[in-house]
Amino acid sequence: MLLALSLLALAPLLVPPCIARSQETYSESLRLTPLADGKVHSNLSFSMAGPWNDEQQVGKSATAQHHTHLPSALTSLLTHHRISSFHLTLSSGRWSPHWPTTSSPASGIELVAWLEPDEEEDELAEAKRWHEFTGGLGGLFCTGVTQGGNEASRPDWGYSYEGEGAEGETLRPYRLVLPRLSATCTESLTPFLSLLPCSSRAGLGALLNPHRLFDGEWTLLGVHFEQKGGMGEVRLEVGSVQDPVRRDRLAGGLGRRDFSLESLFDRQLTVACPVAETSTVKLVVPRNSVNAFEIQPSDGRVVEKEGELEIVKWETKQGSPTEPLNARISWPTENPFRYPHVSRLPTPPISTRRILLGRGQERGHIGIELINNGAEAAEVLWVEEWPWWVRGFVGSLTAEGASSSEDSQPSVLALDYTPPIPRRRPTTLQALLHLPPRSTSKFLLPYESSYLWYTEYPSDAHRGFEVPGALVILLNPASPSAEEIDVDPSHLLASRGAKLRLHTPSTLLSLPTPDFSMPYNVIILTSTVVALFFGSVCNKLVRAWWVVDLEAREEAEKKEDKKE
Amino acid sequence: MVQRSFGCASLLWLVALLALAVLLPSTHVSASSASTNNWAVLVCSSRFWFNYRHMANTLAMYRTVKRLGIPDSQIILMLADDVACNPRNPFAGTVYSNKDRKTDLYGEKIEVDYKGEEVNVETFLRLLSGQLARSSRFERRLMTDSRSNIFVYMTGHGGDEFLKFQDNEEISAFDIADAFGGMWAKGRYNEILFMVDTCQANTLYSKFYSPNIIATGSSAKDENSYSHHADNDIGVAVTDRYTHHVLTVLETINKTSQVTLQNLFDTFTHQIIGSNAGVRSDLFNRPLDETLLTDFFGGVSQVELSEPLGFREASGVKEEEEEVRGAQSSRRSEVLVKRIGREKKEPKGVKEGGGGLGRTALAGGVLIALQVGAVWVARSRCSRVV
Repeated sequence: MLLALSLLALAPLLVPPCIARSQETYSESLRLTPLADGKVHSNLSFSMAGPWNDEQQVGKSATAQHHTHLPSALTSLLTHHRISSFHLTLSSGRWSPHWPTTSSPASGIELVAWLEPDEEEDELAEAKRWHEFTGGLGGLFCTGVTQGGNEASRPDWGYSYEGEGAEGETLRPYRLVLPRLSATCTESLTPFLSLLPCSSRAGLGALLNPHRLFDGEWTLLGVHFEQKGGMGEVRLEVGSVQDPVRRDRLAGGLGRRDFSLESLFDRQLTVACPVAETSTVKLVVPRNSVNAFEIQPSDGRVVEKEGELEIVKWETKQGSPTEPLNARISWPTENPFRYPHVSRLPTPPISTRRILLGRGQERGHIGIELINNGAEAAEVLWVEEWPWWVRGFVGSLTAEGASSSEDSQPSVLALDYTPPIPRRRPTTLQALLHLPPRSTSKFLLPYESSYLWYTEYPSDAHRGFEVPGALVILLNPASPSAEEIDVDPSHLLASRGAKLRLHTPSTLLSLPTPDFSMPYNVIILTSTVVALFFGSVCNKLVRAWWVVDLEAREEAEKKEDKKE
Repeated sequence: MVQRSFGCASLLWLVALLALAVLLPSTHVSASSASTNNWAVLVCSSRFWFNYRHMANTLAMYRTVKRLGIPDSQIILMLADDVACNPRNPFAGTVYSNKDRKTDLYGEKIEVDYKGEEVNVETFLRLLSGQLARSSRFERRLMTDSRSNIFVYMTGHGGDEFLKFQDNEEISAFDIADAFGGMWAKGRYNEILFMVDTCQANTLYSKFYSPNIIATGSSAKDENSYSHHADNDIGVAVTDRYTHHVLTVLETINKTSQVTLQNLFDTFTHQIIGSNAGVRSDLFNRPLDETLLTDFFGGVSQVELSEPLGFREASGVKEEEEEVRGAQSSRRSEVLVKRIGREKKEPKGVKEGGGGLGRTALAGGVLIALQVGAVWVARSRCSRVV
């Protein structure tokens, strides 16, 4: 008791002065990209960074977890489950291959996380820690990340740990993909806003209007956490592709592609977030635009070069406090917008799509088609994760090319396959592929789908079962000096870097689905048969049939009457 | 002789039990005592776009209980499907329960605790019994105690003594009754208001047996429950008659309303609802005309009493009572203050908890002594006989 009291008295001396306040930073940016087909891609990024102590004994003390900008709802979850790094993306809609990008997210929910290694922990305990983390994250973002039957895979080829340290290379990611028709909605945006220092009251967060965000062609909510040099960085991103042409037509216009912050988000930037160090609105100047366009407002804007792109930039913190910022672009001479010919739309270096072939519900071929649009041969990492009920036969994997000559055939350079364990481990396929220049290649393997237990079928099972899309990574060309031969494919991504990351959309697969009324039919039929059998046996035993001679009986009765 | 000795022992046992019953305070508080926290469990159990109205019903209830003061952390909202961001919804991110489309029920901020496939019979029963996975967060738990009033609202498609979940499985009237029975046994509720809007809804509460439950349903056995009206732009019916009517009544009340459950039930007519709405109050101990709607739909104002510096012992309690009465006009706070006042007025220096402990210890001691006596008596008699 005395000891506790003396500790209490010493407590103020033990607490170090608040150092977190000065070191934590917050910055936000919005980037608007007018696309060639008249649509607009807006990408909001909010990043918070602060000192991060990953040592366990420090992590458990209260002061080490004190943050000013880093959201405590998230940091407490990370320190409790000892997470080194994670990425969570929720997306709805479909990303068109003509929209330029370097990375497209998986459709539905994707969670990739690296857990801090623990010497004393065995694999089971680590898996449990991962399960509890997914449950906590699912509760935080109202997403239902945790669902029975969806187990994590450990693909290490397609994901490289971005943190520092030699131990990072040995860490294997946990990955969970849940394909959903629409994974984002207002209920996942609400907790998202609560993580921002200014919430939706000020700064760029104020633009996050759910009624406009979820009315687009494509929506993304992303949460990323990384550790670098003793700093923890939380980055929240919101992406949306909207169609101003459609909106203009709905409003009775002819279909102009002009847009402004107000037309996209139904809001203007009135108050800047006071804790933000930088808060910028960027607009990518459209290239190859035949008609003249103008970008407003002219005061406070800066024009920058970013590679080949020209970018107009506004600092929202420097904007005049009286007038709200409403960045806008218009094509005054263009009325209405004319959709360009497909050949004039930009083509990505590689494009891909999912192939699913076969008849019946049990067997088929599954794979991808890859089109290399570049003039040089490409090396591509292909990562697949299928639920356990899709068993691929990797020995029969075929690579088919459209070209006839021998040296321009696509090939599989390396392969890693983890077969499924029913209800415990999904199928994982990782491959390093070689694609000849200007070619179309198909990689296919036969699969067999399993029967599920009666209770494992979800509701609406006849709709089909969603199979997550494939991940395709175009690697940067190898530098001629490096010796590539001995490199482990799992380190290729870290050493060469990705030029392009693409996910194919998820597909529906029909599993052998029973007629769910069958058990009732069987029960009814069996009971009828049993009832008939026992009923007749009972009748045989208890009752007997014979002809009754009525006249003889009557006479006998009369005799008896007379006697009386 | 042996028989007699056993009779003697059992008599001693009886005395011991009687002593225990007298000395131990009763585990459950009397029905008249108030709840200290209110919870709401709102369940929409049917999926698919054409069941839009069930989602709208549930969300309208969510907005109402939130307006009347139950915080999001004490509302468990279960939606079996996502209609707000459904590709078929022409008004993205919105749900309306009226064709005038004045109130967007989905709004800009909402916390849906369970959605999609997660809404199933198992989750619902686990939620009620508190047997959720360890990893599930506190937002998704029903952390009620013996002082909690719970409003349970369910809507979907049902039949005689069952309600369908996800068009795939059913929950039966027995399941719900047993879940509530278990909750009562574990002290997980004080009172429950069970409201259900589905076909043959009244059969769903017919199996309840645990006390302090008041139940109401939209339609009697062999009766359908009907939708109210459709919105031509959304293309489906947007609300059900019974829920629409209840919401219309609830629209008129605020946090300090004195409208009682009896007032609400008196408005149920076949003309308005199109079916015979039912009420079951035989398990409920309070008279309905003294039970306020806000006892279930409203939040409980938490009043924390702390003694200010220089507080005088003699007149303290009275002053405090008046002060709080001025600040909070709700009936709840008065009850709370009265109870606290009563505890304080007790002349003993022993605290309430300490007194209870003392009594328990005393009863235990008496019990053990009597038991030892009984064994001794029995043994001595036995030995004498043998």
